[in-house]
Amino acid sequence: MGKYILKRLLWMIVIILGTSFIIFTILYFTPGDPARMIAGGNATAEEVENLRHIMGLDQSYFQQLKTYFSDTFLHFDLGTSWVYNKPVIDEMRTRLPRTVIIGLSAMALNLAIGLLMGIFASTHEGKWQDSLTMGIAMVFISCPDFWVALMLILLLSAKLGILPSYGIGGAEYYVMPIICSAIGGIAVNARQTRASMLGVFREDYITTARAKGQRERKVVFRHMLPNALMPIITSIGNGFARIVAGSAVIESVFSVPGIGLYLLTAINARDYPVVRSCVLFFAAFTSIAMLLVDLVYAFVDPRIKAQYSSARRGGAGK
Amino acid sequence: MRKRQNDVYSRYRRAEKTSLFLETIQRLWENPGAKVGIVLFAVIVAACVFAPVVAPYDVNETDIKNLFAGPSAAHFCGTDAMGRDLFTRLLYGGRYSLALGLCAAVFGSALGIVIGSIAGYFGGKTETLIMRLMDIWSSLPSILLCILISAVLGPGFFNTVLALSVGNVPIGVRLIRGQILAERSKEYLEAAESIKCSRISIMFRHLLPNVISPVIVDATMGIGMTITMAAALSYIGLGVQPPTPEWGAMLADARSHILNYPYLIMFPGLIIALTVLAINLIGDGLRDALDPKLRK
Amino acid sequence: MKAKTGKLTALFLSAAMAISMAACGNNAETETEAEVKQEAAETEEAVKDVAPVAQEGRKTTADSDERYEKICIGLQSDPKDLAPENTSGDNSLLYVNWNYYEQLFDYRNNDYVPILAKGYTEIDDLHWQVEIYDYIQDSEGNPITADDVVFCYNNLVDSGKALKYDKFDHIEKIDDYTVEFVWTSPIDGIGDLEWPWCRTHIYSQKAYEEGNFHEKPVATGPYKVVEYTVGSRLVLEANDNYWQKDELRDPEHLANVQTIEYDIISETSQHVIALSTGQIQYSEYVPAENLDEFRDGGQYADGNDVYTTQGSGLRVLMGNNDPGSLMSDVNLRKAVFYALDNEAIVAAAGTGLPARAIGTSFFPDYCEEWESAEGNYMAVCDPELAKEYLEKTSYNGETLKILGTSNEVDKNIMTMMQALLLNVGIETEIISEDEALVQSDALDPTKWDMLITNAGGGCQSGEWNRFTNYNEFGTGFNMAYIHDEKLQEFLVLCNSLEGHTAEKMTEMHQYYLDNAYYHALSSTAMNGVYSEDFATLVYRESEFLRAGACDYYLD
Repeated sequence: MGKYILKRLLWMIVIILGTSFIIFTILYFTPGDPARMIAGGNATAEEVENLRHIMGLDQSYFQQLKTYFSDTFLHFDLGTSWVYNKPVIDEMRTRLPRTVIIGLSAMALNLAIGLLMGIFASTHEGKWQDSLTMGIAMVFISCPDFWVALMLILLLSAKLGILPSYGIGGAEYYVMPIICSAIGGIAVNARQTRASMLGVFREDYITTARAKGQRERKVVFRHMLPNALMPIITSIGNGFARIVAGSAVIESVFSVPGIGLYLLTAINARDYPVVRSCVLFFAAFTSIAMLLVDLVYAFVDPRIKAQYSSARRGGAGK
Repeated sequence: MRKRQNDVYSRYRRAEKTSLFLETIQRLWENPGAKVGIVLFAVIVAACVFAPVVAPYDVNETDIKNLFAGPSAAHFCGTDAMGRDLFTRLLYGGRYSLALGLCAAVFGSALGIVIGSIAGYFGGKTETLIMRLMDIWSSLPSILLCILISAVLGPGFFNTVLALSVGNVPIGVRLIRGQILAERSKEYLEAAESIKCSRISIMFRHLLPNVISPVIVDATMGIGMTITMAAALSYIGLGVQPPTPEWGAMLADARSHILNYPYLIMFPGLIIALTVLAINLIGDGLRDALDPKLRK
Repeated sequence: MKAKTGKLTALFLSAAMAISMAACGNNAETETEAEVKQEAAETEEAVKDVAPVAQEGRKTTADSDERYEKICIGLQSDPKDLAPENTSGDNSLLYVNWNYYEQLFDYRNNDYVPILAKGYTEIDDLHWQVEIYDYIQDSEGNPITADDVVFCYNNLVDSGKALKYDKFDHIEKIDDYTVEFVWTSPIDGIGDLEWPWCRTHIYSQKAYEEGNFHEKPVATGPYKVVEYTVGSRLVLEANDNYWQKDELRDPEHLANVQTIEYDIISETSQHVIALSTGQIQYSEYVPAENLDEFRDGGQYADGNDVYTTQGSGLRVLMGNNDPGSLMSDVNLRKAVFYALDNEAIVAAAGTGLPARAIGTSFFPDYCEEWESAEGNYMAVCDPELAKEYLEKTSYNGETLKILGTSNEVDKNIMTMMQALLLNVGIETEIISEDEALVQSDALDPTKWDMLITNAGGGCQSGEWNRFTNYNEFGTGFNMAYIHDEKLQEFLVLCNSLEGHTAEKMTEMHQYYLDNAYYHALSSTAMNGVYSEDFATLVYRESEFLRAGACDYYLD
């Protein structure tokens, strides 16, 4: 198991390096001159050229790539934002909690509601409750999240005036962003839960449990759910990564200064150190989320655990 | 001798395929959810395709005297900030939005199928290399990749299609490869190999038809996802050029009018939701119809 | 402020008249009349949007030592980096900067008003000395001396962000409180020293080296930064340690309110919500359609009001004069310009005032007679004439590219232009890109045929400089790919102290028109929605609200 984790971690480093290389190259060839953006509309050609030199943009591709890689991976320095002139890492540290709070809460919310909806639907399979719940899930998954956000603002802020519509502050500022981030995941989880619940529905051990005269509620929660949860765990990693990535749009609707909005403003301003660092963050985040999910999965599912142990024995050649 | 064997075999496959196709359609139609989806989708597509006939106005016809007219008999969905008929623009906009979703999903999946089959069929180093590349590729969530590519390429229809499809590729690759792995050991492939069919022919004539159904389901659901993603792109200022009446762009244009003229944002949002809903219902139905476990 | 209001009324009246005179193409007579009526109604409305005057008998901050407690102002974008090297940038930065940074002089009506400086002496053409007060200190008590001033100038030059410094050679310390500026050539242009003197921030070298000016600058202004949450809000507190004696304190550098909070709200519709719920007290970003709700009789009128004034900005459309573009044909340019209807364009944009000449009546050196000049294609919309000009060209249904930024106003303008040009048979394609792309594509003559740009400046002739001067881009061509010696001579002359006359400027304007080089689309209008806590509103350079200098009701 330890070796497996080590192997995965090493592979993660390769992924990060690869992503960095790709993103650097993409940005290098992106049209639009960062120096001109920073110099502003009043600058003359000479002033812009001067700034390009100071920013190191007049160097060749390989030189710039070398500087970037040695700064990032040898000195662990993400650089300084060209626009904010602030170390990127500091700014990310301030912004990260906001994005993560929204992401985690949204994840918890969509898991809780999604599971309940899925269980409810599966225990009423084929009845109208089933169709209704799944219908609702279907509608949730079909609505663009930023549109839901706009509708919520219209209702809760403009008409009823009970929630603030922008910015950060107390908990009330996070309510709408969390709901909007969660909405797509609710549907995914509900459908997933229902499907896997139905999958274990006719397994022998469930029949046995029923035959033993256990109460239906106990059968559902004690015997069925733990087994049905397996496939759901795999979708958690994906779901979390998707929520965090989707933060760019939600954060821009609600003016939440998180990582996503940081990335969006940086793209518009051609603030490459920020774009590179944010993308790196999202890549690392996704990889770690996936790794954790795989580990948890291996841990809960004895079959897979056994597989790893045997693989280790075989691989080590002992 | 070998040739005859081959002929018999492929004739058998073809016969099976035709009946399978018909059966799938039939099963799809029997699914009530999918039926609703198909009807809804057909209505939307027809309305968009025949937009010039159905639409009461010209798509970019501005009417300065009639800015922000509310929904009425003359303008079913009202008019926008430039006095253009919203209903007309929704119809025409569907052409772009649907085309965006369809092109991006098909293009992304097609690329995924090709790469995935190469990986799955050849195996070995090729497979490892391709799959590792896919790991890097998919380490970035698709919406982010899409935003980045779109910013690099600049706005426009084809650039947006490209940006939208890029994120779909690794999913298709993984699906196809997984299927092929499962299929690789089956007898009919051994049979084909034993009669020395070329690898390409084995891959595309024998292997693909057997493994393609999950990709089709995935691509169908992908169309819906892509339409919402395209809308989100337009919303943050990327995407198609004005005055293209793409649904997401219409939403983005309307957002500063949200307080006074909420219908400007309600109608495009609703039509996106309805379309995606229809597509998802069809996708769901397809999944059930193609599922061998449910097929008796 | 009063004079401004008068001018605005006149402008609206002239707009109404011009419309009634302009036989605008397809419009039936009745429609034109209706427009006049509508315009007249707007005129009345505009008169209502005057600057507030302190009501008699109410207690305000002006006649008391007390300060108003707190004011929240909505901004649309992040001021980003607060460091003093950033003298240019988007409006948000300029908006907040004046609160904590001060300069040697303030720029008011083309004049230099001493702030940190006591005054200046011209030793000769190229050597000017400036003496500063000997008791200046920043909000943390660091004294400011000639050494600091020299440091500030050198720091700005070294950063590569010193703009419009072409007359600046270097600066020297003469004694503890006197510095000498050495110029590269005699100071003979209008506003030559606006940037070196009035936009170069002065602060203590010690504070700069010890602190983090990017987020928490320490300077001499009437306010100090206490909290800056990037992307969300900036909070300022009154500087109780302000250096200047009360009797000498400049009225624009007061601190009548204890706390100023700038909230960054990117969606304009959210500004309306924030104002209506009292989260903010002032915003200039309310969409035009929502303004009525804050005027008398509107649903949020209780406690709020609107102040409308014209800004200095001008949206200019230019044809590409590069021989590779069809627009290099003067007749095609005239055809395009005559086909455009600035009234319709402004209606589509939802903001601004239609331009009637290449200029902004905001500036004192703008002449209203330009509007009635011969061949002024901006004052009329004449599709028939446009078609006549079109026939003289080789244009044969080619698609012309209109380039502009992807903000909503530009997009709407381009969409309306496309519709108007189609009326006379000119096919166009809209290319809207983010600002960075537009900036680089504008420098490539193959990427566009028509370009929309925003010009601004300290005076009319200065505003012309940006798009007319062929030395701005280092290519020998100006923004519209024109290299016209005569035009350049005009520009230099109009921007010199002796040539800056109505006569010369009118000649230059006529030269613009005869060659149809540019078409001004609209000038910016600033609609400030303010809460009735404000007794008066004070703006720096008529554009940036100085919250500290405004007067507030205390009762």
